[in-house]
Amino acid sequence: MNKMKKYISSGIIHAVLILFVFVSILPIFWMWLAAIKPFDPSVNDPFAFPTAFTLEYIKEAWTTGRMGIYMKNSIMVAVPRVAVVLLLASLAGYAFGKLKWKGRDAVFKFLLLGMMIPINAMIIPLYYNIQRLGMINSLQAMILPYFGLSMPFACFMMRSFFRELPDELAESATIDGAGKLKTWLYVMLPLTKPALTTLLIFEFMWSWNDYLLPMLMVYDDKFRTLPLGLMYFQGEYTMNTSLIAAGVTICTIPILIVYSIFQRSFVEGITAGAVKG
Amino acid sequence: MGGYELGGKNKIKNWAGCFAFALPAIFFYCLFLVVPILSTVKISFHEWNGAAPYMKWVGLDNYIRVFKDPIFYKALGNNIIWILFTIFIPVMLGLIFAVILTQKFVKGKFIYRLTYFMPNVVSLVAVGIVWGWIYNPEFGVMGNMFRSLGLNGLADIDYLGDEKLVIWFLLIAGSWTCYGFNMVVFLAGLQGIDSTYLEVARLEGANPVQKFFYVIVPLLKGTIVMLVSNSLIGSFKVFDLIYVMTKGGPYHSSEVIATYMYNSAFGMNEYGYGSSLAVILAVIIAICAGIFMKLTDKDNT
Amino acid sequence: MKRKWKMLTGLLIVSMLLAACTPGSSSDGNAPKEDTAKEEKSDTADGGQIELNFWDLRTEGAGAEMIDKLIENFEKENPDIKVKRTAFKVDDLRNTIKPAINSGEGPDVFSYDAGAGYLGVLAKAGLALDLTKYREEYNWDDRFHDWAIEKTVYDDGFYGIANELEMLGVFYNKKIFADNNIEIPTTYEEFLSVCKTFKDKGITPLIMDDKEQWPGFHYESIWLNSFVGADKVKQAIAGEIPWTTEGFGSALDELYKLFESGYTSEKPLSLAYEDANKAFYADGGAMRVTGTWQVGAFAEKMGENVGFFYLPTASDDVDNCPPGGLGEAVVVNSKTKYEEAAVKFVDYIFQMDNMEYWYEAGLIPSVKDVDYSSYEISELFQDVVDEINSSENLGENIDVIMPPKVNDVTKNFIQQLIAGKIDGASCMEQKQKAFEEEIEAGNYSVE
Repeated sequence: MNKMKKYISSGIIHAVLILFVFVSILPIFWMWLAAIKPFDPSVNDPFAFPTAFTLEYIKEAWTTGRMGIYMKNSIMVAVPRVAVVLLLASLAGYAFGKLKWKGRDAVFKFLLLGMMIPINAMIIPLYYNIQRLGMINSLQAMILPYFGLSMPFACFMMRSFFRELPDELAESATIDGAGKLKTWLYVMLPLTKPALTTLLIFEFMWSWNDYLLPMLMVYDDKFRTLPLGLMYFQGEYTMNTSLIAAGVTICTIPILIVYSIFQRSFVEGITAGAVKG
Repeated sequence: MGGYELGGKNKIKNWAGCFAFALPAIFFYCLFLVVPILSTVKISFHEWNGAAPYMKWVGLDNYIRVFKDPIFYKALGNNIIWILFTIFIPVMLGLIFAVILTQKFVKGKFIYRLTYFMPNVVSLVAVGIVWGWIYNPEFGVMGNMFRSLGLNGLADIDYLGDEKLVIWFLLIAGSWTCYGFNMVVFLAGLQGIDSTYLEVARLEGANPVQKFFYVIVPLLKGTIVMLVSNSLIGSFKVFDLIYVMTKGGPYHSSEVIATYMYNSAFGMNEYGYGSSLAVILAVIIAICAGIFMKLTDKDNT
Repeated sequence: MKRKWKMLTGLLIVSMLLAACTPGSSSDGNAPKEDTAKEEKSDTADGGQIELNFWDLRTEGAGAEMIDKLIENFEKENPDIKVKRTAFKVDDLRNTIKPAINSGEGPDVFSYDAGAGYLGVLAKAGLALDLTKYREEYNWDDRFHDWAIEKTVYDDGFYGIANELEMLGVFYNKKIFADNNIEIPTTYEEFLSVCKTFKDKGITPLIMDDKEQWPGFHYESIWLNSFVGADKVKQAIAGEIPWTTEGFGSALDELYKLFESGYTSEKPLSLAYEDANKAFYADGGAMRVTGTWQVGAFAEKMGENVGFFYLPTASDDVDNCPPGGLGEAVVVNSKTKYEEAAVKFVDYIFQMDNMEYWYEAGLIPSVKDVDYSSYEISELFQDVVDEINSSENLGENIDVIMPPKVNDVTKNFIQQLIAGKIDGASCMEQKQKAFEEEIEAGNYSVE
């Protein structure tokens, strides 16, 4: 009897879990299906199950729809942005988490204030700052501001992680005569790999999906990143749902692949770092 | 703040050495975050159309206008709905799924962990397009589904066109993107829980519901606080999804402060007014986050 | 604790100083200056090819093909100039253009609303190039209709060329009309009874959408013109009579009655413009209320199955003046490096030899005396052009003239009207209030 009950409850739980698997992936999956099915204006239903298969729309979105260029831009924005943010944050995280200096906590609090301010609150002057730096309508315009905007969260995360590392490590290195920079580079940094991985994935994700800032900073379609390109793409090809779906597909597949590959270490990083902050 | 055993010159040198690590981060932080926010405050005291070479000083006029503006209150209300909903539903869902996934009898945990998080990874522009189609009045899968189930009442709802309901349907799309994130963080938190607590609870004959509320929830308090404050701040920032799906419409019914601010500044060219909305938004978030942290701090000690 | 606060204030002061002296801050009270990019206005930048950036609103269909073809020909004739066209949706362009040209980075040539609240503002801020000297050089006064030239004059400067005439009316599905033995209505009562007949037969009479909010402008213009007449609308636009004059509000009430009676698409507020068009192509309704810029697309998708008529006037007292207005103005950026080439391009698209492309795309350019008898134009377009020629006068398409704030309240109250939240009279009160505010703010002038 008891066993029976257990089976039933386990069955229900599994059913709910599987239902949510569908809830989670079905909308994305529909898009992929819509992208590979010939468009029929008289049916006007992108959700109809495909009866034939074509890669024409993916190809068209990639070339005439310029999604190829957008993807290249997304990568060119994400790589330097993530690299610099990681570097700055791991330096600062070390200073805030391991080193002892006067005013440290005050400066850190000052930095944390930034976490509460939404980016919407500063886009107007940010826009004119970038303009005065002569960088409007360039890839840099979408990269540079994040060196500042990403700092609060990134430093917060790296600091929490550095704090968890035992003090003795740094001390023994210092006794060995290594300078601070060397200690950071050779002793500390290798240990922060899980946190760095997590931060990398977060930052990459945010960069890949960033919309508001690119929308403001970039006019020329040769600099548009994927979400922005997708937005304009949707406006430009409103008629053809298959083509829009192809755009969405191109935009979603790479990030999902990256996530699937890194998801294990991503979760590890969260476990090790952020939560304990 | 003890332990400065070095003296004089060395002390300064040591301090500078430490500070140098933080300096680049602080520099960019000031340049691209602190300076702009101060400029926003400054613009908010001016009237400026974005094109004229000079701004006109109007003092507090923009702020007075904000507090007289019914659309501002509508937007603020929507923000509050968004906060309350995202604090409860996706965070709760995330917690429940996380607890379920730590149970031994659940098979294929990897699949759930992978798929539940996927919506969070997808760009909100893409999410907006997908859900826009789901709600579409011509071919939307939502309406078709209800119709085929015989629920014509639900099928006839104008999901994104009804002033009272639009924000809730946007919230469904919004929650879809974030419950997986909450779950992954809770999973991480649960791994840190000492399993002896649960063992003790089991021996004392607690049922799963009791175990959930009396053992797991208190132990996960730190994680819950973090996720709730994350949702709180995130809810005020919500912009992309609403902008892509409804642009705040119909007639400002789904407006939140961030979209209203964007429309005022970049749509209506009232940069001063937009800036004052931005400042108010920032102040509200700071106050909410402050209160929330104070409350949870007190509980902890 | 105290020390921390000292530290914090210190940091704040430092960043304020930073705010004051970084090149990026605007804390000296000035908006970005326009001293850059002025000096090199020569056309032969480095002897080689120059690239003109051109932004417009023709996203797809016949209009887009037309402009692409014109660009191709232009490039062939001027091998040293390349034109790069970027197409935008209306709101996207409106939101992007001003900061873009302000930064000196925007397009060299662009399409923009010609109204006082749009082009007028750019002209005042010195962001649009004054084309007066080219107006004589290229003899534009002889080529364009007077009403087109007038629309882009601000403070005696001439700031762009109004590109085309757009009329608002009703497209209908000929097959559905024929199958149900229905004739084109000639009075408003007939129009209503046509709607009723279709509804009783289970056919959506009118495909009307207003998710994007701008279709609402057109409904307002059409119904006001039809009920109070073009003269009164023009008087209201000129500020001679208030928008709250009797008849204006009730015209909108009549508009609402269509939605209330179920003569329109079911969920107009979440129906997107292109989805509504698609529904019309797929025989999802008998009539589609929109403007003649769709002629090319409708003719292409529906062939001879589509016709066009203007909404009949409500009574005989009202003149037969269908509403129509200018699309956008083609404007040259005042900060362009290639002024001569940009103007040359603008002139080129409106050259008489190119009118064939416009007409064959179903567009009515603002160029006068075009002999279109030899062009291959669709039957639908022929209908439209004939209708324009037969109408006594032209009504006004209100939104292209109104300043932004008036348009902003209008698009929202039309949605509220459609939802049945407010009546026509309170709509017009809102409009009048915004209208007065904009006049006071100097964004609109009434002579």
